[in-house]
Amino acid sequence: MPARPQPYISVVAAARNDNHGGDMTRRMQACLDSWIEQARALGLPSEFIVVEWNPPAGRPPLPTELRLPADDPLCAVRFLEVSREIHHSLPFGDAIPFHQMIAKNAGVRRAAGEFVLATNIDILFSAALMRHLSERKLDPRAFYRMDRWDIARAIPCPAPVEDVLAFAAANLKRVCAREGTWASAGDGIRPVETPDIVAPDSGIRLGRGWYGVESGDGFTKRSPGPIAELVLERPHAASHLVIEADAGPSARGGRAEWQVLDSSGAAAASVPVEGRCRLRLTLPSGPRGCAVRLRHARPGLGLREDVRLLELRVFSIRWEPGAAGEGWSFDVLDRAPGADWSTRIPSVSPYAATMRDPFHLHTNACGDFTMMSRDAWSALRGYPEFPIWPTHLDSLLCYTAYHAGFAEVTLEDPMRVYHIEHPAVWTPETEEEREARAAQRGVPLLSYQTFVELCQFMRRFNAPLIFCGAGWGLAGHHLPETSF
Amino acid sequence: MCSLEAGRPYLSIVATARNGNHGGNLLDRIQVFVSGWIEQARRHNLPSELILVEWNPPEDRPRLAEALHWPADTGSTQVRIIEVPGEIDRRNRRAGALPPGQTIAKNVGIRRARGEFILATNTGILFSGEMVRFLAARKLEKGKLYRTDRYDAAAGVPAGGSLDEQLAWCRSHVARLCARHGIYRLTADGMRENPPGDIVPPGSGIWFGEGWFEPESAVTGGFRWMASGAEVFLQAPGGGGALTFEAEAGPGAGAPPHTLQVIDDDGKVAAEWLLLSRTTLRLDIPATQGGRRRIRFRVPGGGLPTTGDPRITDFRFYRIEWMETRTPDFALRPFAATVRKWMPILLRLVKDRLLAQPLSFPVAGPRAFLRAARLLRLLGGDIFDRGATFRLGGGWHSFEDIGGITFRWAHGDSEFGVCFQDGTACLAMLVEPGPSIGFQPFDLVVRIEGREEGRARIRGVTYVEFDLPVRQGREVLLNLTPENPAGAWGQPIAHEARTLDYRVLACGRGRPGRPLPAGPAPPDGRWPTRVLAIRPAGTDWAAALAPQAGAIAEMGRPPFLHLHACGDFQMMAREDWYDVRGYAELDDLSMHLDSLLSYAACYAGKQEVLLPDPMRIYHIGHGTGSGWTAEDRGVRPESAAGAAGADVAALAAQMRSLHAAMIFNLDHWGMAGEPLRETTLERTEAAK
Repeated sequence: MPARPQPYISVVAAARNDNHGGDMTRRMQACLDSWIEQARALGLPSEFIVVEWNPPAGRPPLPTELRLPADDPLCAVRFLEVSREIHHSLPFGDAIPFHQMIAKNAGVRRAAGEFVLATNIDILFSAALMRHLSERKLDPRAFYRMDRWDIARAIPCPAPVEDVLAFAAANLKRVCAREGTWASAGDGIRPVETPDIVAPDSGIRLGRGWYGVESGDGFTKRSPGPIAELVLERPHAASHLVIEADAGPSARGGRAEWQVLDSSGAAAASVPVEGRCRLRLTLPSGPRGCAVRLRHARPGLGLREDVRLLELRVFSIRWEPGAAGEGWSFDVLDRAPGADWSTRIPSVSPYAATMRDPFHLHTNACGDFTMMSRDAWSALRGYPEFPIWPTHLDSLLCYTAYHAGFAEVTLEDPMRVYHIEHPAVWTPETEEEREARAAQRGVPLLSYQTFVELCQFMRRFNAPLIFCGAGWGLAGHHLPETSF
Repeated sequence: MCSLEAGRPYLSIVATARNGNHGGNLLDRIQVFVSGWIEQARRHNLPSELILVEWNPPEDRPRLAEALHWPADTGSTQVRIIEVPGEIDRRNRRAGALPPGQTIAKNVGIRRARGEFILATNTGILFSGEMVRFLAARKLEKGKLYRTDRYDAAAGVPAGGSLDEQLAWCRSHVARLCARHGIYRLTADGMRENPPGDIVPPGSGIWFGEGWFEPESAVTGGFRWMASGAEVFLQAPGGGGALTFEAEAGPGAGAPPHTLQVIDDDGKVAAEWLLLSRTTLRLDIPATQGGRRRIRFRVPGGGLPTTGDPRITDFRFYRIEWMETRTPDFALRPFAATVRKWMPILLRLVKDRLLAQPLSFPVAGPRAFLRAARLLRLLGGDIFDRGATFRLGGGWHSFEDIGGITFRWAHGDSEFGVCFQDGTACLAMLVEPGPSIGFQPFDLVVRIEGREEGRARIRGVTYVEFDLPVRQGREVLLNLTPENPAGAWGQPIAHEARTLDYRVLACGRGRPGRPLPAGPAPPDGRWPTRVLAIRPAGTDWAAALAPQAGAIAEMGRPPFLHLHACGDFQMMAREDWYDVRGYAELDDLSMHLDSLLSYAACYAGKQEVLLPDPMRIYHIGHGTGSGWTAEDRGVRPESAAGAAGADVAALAAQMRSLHAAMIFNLDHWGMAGEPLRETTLERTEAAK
């Protein structure tokens, strides 16, 4: 067989043959198949590295449990073994069998690809995503992220990859997006909760860009991200949207400014929001069904207790009768005093003024898809290698990359990664349970509060935070390798 | 010109400099530095390179290569001058890519250094012969961060003198010592001076060594924190002495009870206590040959950190002093002379029916006269019985003597400590109401730790006695409070701003008690000790730190790093500098970036090693700054001295919790990709 070309992309995942989550090898087989078969079909030179960490005694090595291509011309599959001895040389070796981030770093450190994608063994890659990667247009100054779509676990296997992907597209359970995680059928609409800022069947639905419902202090509200979308079904004789909102803690000088964008993305109208306001957005005449995008016009201030930037809080959106305008208009109907953010949480960071470009990154499920150039991984020395319960470490890497000057690029739908559901999957609802398990085993974890504090340092000093030394990724260790 | 050994230098010395002349004698100090190093390296045959990073050199002044005098033969040192032109400085600052700063300049040199080890330092530093001899012995190890104390020499180092003359000047003109726990002035014989208001009396012959932080003040009184081990140097009175000190555990000592030990010169435990609260202790110090003795306090269970302060603060000492150890003078003064002297007072005692009506211990009739006379016969200095030990707290006015009648006025709550040595358990006082309560009767209440122990009605001159729960030889702290006056409080007094509630004419032992048997002899080799007083601790650390308990547990027992003047001496193996990527290249100049380097190195696994005296670096005094001034393109020195700031404290707390370094630089640190002009003494080339 001729020598394989240098991989354009190295895919790195880590595992141990402990049937984590059930059906582990089945899910892993599907993952490998979805990458290898599509890469081959698209002519994408790549390698798939699996770091087998601390192999359980009495279980066969992972490669023997999988069907692996013997002579794929474009994709090498490499298994690297991190021995029990290495594992037990790290703290908490008895309490945590698997140091996932150190394992991934070991793979990243040994990757040969121009770009390295760190992911997990139960991920399927959509055809659109693979096509994009095969175009070889990735930017070495960027790091890539995308939403994760969780699918039903009963995937067909073995089956042609097209069938598996068709099953995935038809069996979506939820999406892990920048603004949160919610049940989704794939239409990009955020389900209305009870209570919520819009009424069910009101003809107003929330698209992308809306954070979750918050109900503290007796008010139901959502904060819009940098761009938030409304998907509208205009009732008869109603072209006015009345929005009740107030300036959030990130609003500079207590004043936010919200713009409505036209179809070209240009600002069509804007409204200042100071204190608590009732706003009226008048739609121009047009079809009953439409989507409206709203954008913050002013950069927000970084917060002390939250990595998000919260320029606005929206309490309600409803239709009001009224004629359509000739164009867009956005007005303040009335105004009342708003919240005093100097005495509330979240509060503005005392260093907000010196933060250059604070930004809320897409870190939701980022352990399943973080990709950047090999040089970038090297400059950042991979994931933090704290030998602790691996929470927030992948998110921390995203902020490190961003503050090192790499731009976050989100690969949009229809590019997707699908995650095959399993019982131990992380959701915001299982966070407390995970913390309790860590505490029970006496293993420290990085609390969300500490994560925010570390991000604050990066924002404040406009610099990345790197936690590894030159020996990151077990550089000084020989890891036995099995290649296919 | 250069006779460098073939191959790689053992040590690279990296400093930054420019011929800016803002410091007045800046060029002189650079000259002393470079000449001093070249000569020392030659004497000890140490293959080295001296890298000067010339940052943004002024166009109208000669470059350092021309402005400095270079020896014809630089011996075992190769001199390299790397220039960072102003254009690069301006370009980077415009792009926001790199901040200006001394540490980035040092990084430029470190990144290009070839030595096996690299010492980052500053111009204006002279190295002692012992220091360079050690370096030349090539015993440095990888994985270590080497630090040393800095001795600041007074201005006036002979710039034109020989190295030996300069070192002799520095040795004999040390103005200041920058050590791990603080910055100190030194006495003529090299001890750390006790500043005014310190916890030892002036001239007491007690000095603090390693392990003590500088004095602080609080509502609970002035104090010093000690770390897990702390030295005290004692010039004991002839034949030994008794040291008394008052101490309470700090946050570093962990959960109570707290063990406090004294370690003698031989490293043996000389005394040990198990303490629960703020305690006054007596420690008998044996006689010492030669007079001065060193003891060390140690807290075996200490060393715990907090989240808000990078220091390790195991114990807080409120005072240390010598005790009066002579045998108490229990003899009574002659009766007749005493009665004659105090006749006016005793007559008033009689006139006021000589009766006191104490509510708890009535002493009335002729007994009061006789006991008052006895109390007066016991008087020593001040208002106190010379056969007991008293210590005044707040609420007392100065001692007064009017026509031989001596007394002190008191107002409001007043405090004093009393210690009876002869088994007495009864406190006697001769008291009289004062003008601020219209000389009217009042109740005098005695409290210990807020608990009422006695109450007496004071009418005119009154003799009162209070039985106290005291033990022989142990100090008890009393609070005296006037209550229930027959007249109004705070009555004005003509020509008198003070509040004079009542006066105490005498205070001492009341009815005699029975001496207690002597305590058990200390174990072999231990020094005699005694607990003199116990009072509640000023801070309940267990409660105060409860919210941080998890974070503290994660930190373990971290080292307290030597951060003072660390920009003048930080030395590691070259690969260790690469491991931490040099100094943080941050654009926030309020940061103590050199301190941050020490923390990053520590949590990247480099063990801090202190090179001890007589290995020294001397900082040559100067007039107006180190030469890095605001005019120097906004460059200023990081923590030349002083404690780590809040930023470093916060970052250090994170590193301690995470057990990981926090590194802010990418792999192009030290302007790695920037071609910079390099000048050696003979040649000029473009170096990358």
